[in-house]
Amino acid sequence: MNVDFAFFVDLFFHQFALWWVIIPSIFLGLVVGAIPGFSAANTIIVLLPFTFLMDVEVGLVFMIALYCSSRLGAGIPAILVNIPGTAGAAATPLDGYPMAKQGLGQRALSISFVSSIFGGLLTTIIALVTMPWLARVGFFMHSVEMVVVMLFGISLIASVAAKDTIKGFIAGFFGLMIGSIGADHVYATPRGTMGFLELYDGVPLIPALVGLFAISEAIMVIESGSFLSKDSVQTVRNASWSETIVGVKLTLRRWWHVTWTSLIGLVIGVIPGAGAAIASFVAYQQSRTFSKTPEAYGTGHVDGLIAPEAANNGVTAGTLIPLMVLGIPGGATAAIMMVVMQYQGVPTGPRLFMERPDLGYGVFMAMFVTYLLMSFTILPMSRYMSRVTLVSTTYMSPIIIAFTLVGSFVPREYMFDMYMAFAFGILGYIARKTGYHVAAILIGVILGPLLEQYMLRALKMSDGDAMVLFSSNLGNALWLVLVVTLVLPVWLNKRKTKGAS
Amino acid sequence: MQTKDAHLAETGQAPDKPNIAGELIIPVLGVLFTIYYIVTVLDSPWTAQVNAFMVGSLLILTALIFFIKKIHSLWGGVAILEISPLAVSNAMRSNQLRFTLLILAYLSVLEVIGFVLATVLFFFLSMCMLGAGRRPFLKLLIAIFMSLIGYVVFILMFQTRLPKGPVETILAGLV
Repeated sequence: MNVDFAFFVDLFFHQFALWWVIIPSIFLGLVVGAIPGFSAANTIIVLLPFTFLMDVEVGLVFMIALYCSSRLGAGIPAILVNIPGTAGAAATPLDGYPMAKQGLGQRALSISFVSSIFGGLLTTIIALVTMPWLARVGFFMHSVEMVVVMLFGISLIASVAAKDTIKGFIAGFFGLMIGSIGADHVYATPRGTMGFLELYDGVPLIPALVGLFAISEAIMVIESGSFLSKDSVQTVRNASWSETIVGVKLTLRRWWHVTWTSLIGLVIGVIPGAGAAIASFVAYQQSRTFSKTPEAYGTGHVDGLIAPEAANNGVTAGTLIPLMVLGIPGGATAAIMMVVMQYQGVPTGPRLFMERPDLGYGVFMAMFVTYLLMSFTILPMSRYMSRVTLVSTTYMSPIIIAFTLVGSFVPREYMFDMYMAFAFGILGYIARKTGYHVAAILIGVILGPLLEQYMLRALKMSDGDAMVLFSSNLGNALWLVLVVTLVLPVWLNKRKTKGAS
Repeated sequence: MQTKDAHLAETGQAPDKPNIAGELIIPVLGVLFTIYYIVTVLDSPWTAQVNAFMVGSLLILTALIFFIKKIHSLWGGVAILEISPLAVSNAMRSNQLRFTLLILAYLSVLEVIGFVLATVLFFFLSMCMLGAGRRPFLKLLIAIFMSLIGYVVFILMFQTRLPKGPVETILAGLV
């Protein structure tokens, strides 16, 4: 079979003919992405018997569409009610929610959808063309390099803490300490578990996410009775279709920003075990570093919303590359796909492209078609979705609490996790009331254990010699970029102040 | 609006001095947790200690700088540190505290009476409390409807093993 332009055109129409699978999967993915605790991975597991019954191609297309739309869906509650549906959307509310609070929820959703779709389409095309080379990125990213990548994400704490540096760092370090609860990565010694067996695997991520964002927010907003101020309510009520168009235009005008932040997602997605949370934090941090208006980040800045959304959708194509090209799953959803493929007798890795190129390339083409169909199905919904913010907190707060608590129960099915979410809710409420940034705590909880894991792996290999962190060329180049991105904003700011004075 | 003099007469404090009591909660919690964490790893191998000493010392150092800053602002008279009985009693009467206690009650009864019944009760009671008891019938209908949606989505569709009670048993017989 010749893999040429005609092959791809043919493949595109072939995948497009599966719209009857893709469109329902998009809506299912939106729902599971929007509810914390539910993800594409566990939905696919629940529906695994059905995928086994389907034709392998239809089954893969179903999983791909669900996966892509759940990524996009996770940003919806993050923007409207400050509740990220998954850890990958944890950086989205930083600028999305302030926009919604100003009554610009519809515009924010439109920006989020367009940057997700644009980022998804672009990275899918790049993945199709550069798959064999991109798949090798994982070979160069060892524990030393990963330590620096984690530090890129963690350095976002400094950006988040820009308004009150000490408080930001206290919140971030506290998050890192909480993230290091659990058995250590080498000898499995329990640390800081307070005697709870449920904490031996570490602090579960979803209860932390649910508590810090959803529960604390639901308790906070009952003070005012509404998510919005009176003026913002009027703005939402008066909003017409033009708000969606404005969002589309604002995003397309920043096409370069969408491009490079989605590429960050693609590259990080290729690295096994990295994932959307790291990609979105790194993209947000980089976006702020190279922005001409870094001070506007966190107040409802368009670029601050585009960066994490484009990046976490760039990850979707990235995580599938190692699976398809090398037979190594890059994430949980990719691992489940591998199970389905093996069950159906379809090889993964290089043999896939030799024996079934229609399937190998077809997976990415299905992703392309999914993103394309999402632009027609999801984008028009932004106007109606944004109305959620008009619902009184009398009704919204209890609903948010009950359903997100269920979400925190889902991954491990422990009642303990619900209490954990409640405890994080109280912590988040106190933090918000006293001027500490909950996002800084969450960054620590998410990235802390990963940083420790890679750091220990690197130190263990070098018998505890810390200089190992500067032992690789790629690692040193990354260190240099990290230092530049940390120093550059400070230097630019100083220059700006000097110029102004 | 309360005048400056009236405020002074009532509280004995100038109105523009911030109370730093609340701001101390997170760093104090952080330091206490770090000390506890370090105690749990004292006899562990170095691999278990790296994070505790690296991140923990950074947290303690940052918290110390914060405390020094706050003591300085107290010394300079630009801030106050007090736990006002009025603020505590206001907090006790606030909807937030009652709502928080309702959440805790919801979690406590969930395992005993099952997801659907506990959720109906939680929705109804919290909506009545937050809505000052207006339109209770509508709130009851919303509570039942939303709980049933939860049952269909979480238990029927996604097969989540949420705690079951009498309602789930009846519904399982019907479905």
